[in-house]
Amino acid sequence: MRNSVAACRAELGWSQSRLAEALGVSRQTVISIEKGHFDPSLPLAFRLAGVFGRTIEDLFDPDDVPATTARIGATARPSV
Amino acid sequence: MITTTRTRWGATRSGRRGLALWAPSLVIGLVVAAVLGGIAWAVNPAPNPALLGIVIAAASLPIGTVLGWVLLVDRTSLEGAVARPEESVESVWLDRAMAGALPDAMAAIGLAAGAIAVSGKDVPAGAVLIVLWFLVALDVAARYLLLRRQA
Repeated sequence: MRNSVAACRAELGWSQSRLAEALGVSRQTVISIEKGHFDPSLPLAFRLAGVFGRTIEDLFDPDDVPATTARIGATARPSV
Repeated sequence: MITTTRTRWGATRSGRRGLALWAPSLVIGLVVAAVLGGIAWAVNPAPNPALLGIVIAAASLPIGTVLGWVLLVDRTSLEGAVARPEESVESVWLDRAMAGALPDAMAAIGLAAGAIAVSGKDVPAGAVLIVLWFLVALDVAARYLLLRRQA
């Protein structure tokens, strides 16, 4: 999964160690996320978004999600 | 209680360090050593069970003391300990390494059992279990290091 964690971290002028400490994870975790080798858990993704003041969608760009997504409830409902 | 100063060996939850941490750890180690040594003394049919009990107790003392330290130390006082290790990539590597080692262990145990059955040789169970333990540990370590190198 592509992400802009490294760019956002650079904007803040933070080191990987400082970001890791803010997130409560190891520095290697930040390195792996920035390289796109490790997809963080949902709680960790939310904390990342919170640290940078952005949404998860701003930070992460999944490669395999289709451009048009089905809306919930758009499918045929069972007749009552 | 969250302590502000982090050190290599940490502190208790009440913030006490050094002897105040290690003395109760040693007591736990002595209890563990006495229990294991006593069991070996009581149940092992060795010609000199007292000596065996002392050897087992002596070997168990450092392990029991470290176990006591693990139980008593506040991990937030440890240098380099992260707040959420379960969300760190190292935790994922370890999970994957252990998950990958399981089918390897099952295959090794199956092959070993088959070889013993076919050959009809009487193999000591203790030796087989120790060898299997080392092989599985080596497998997990190798897989973990490979995942770390790929990261």
